Parts: sequence; C-alpha cells; structure tokens
Amino acid sequence: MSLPHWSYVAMLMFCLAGTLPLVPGFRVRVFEQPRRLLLTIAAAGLPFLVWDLYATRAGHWRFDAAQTLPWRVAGLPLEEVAFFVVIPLASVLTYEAVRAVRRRGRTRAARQPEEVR
Amino acid sequence: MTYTAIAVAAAVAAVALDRWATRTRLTTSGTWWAAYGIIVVFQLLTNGWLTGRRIVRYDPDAIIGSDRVRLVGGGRLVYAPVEDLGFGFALVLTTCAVWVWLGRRSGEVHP
Repeated sequence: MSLPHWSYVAMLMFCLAGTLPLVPGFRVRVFEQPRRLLLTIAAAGLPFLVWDLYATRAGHWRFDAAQTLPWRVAGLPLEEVAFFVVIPLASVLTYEAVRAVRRRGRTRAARQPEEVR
Repeated sequence: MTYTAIAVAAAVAAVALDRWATRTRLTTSGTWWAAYGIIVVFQLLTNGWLTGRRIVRYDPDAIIGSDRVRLVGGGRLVYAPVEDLGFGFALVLTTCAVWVWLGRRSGEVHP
C-alpha cells in the first residue's frame, strides 16, 4: 500500500488527535461511561450509516480506491464505517468540553463576590 | 431522492428529535451551539480534505453544484457540496441529543 491509500485514515486520525486531548485537558468524563457512549454511537451512527449505504448504492457519491484502504464493508471503505464512530465520539467530547468550560465559568462567577468580600 | 433532499430532511428530523422525541432541547442551549460552532469549523477543514483531494466524489445530478470542485461557489463550500452542512448538522445534533438523553435517564445531572 502506498502513502495515498492512507489519505482518508489521516483525516480520521486528525479528528482523534484534536479531540482525545480534551479528556485530560478538561477532565471530561466520557470514557467512564462506556455503555452510554457505545449506545450513543450506535443509536446516532447507524441511521447515518444506512443513509451512506443507500447513497453509495444510488451513486450519490463514491470513494477513490487509490486514496482509501483496500478493505470494504458492504461496499463501503472501512474508513467510512469508522467515520460513524469517530465523528460521534469527537462530537460528544467537544460538547462535554464546552460544558465543562461553561460550568467552571459559572462556578467562578458565583464564587467571586465572596472572594471580594 | 437527491442528496440535497435527504440532507434537508435529515437536518429537520434531527431538530424534531431534539425538540420532541428526546426533549433534550439542545438547539435552545448556548452550550450546544458553541460546541457545534467549533465542530463546524473542523468539519469544513476535514471535509475540504476529503472532497478537495477527491477522496469522495459526488454525482452532479444528486447535488446543487456540479462536478466542478471549487473552493467556494457553485454549490460548494471549501470544496464540499453545501449539502454536507446538513449531513454534519444532523449527525452532530443527533449524537449529542442521544448522549444527553441517555445521561438524563441514568441520572446524570445536566443543566
């Protein structure tokens, strides 16, 4: 396999590299709830995977064999299936990180008047 | 059905899920919109990679644009069909709505 075959994988790695550090960075508690996370990925990802299968069959879009890995799952590149795990995970991590930042901001704002006194 | 039609339907369905099915009402919360604002920027970047390099190619009959892959214009935004915005919005909102809904069911405190 030549380097271009990893083009789609590179994009998925970029998404993980950008969001996984949010876990230690903002003390996001997502992996402590594996059941909730897996159910979320399954419930949200599956309908979109079905849409993807339909759209690929209908010819709405197609994938470049030279820029994807050779493995196919029901006609989709393995990366395209992984997309529906990576993107929901990245979405949950981003949402929880924003929630942590805003919660911290609120706690600080509530505490400040006492500190002034 | 074209990609355009399905993308619009998916975005509407995701809002309906959030408002009436899970009652998570994330589309009324600043927290979710802030998160989506961050995600959509990265979506444009990563999707620009997928479509600009033509890793994914689109049938011109299924989208508003043509098979001309342009940075902006002609139904394209950072090389990707504008329909991808509907796809991304629906996927992110559905994911977060399910996540928050499951959290509430298991007793996780949520503002």
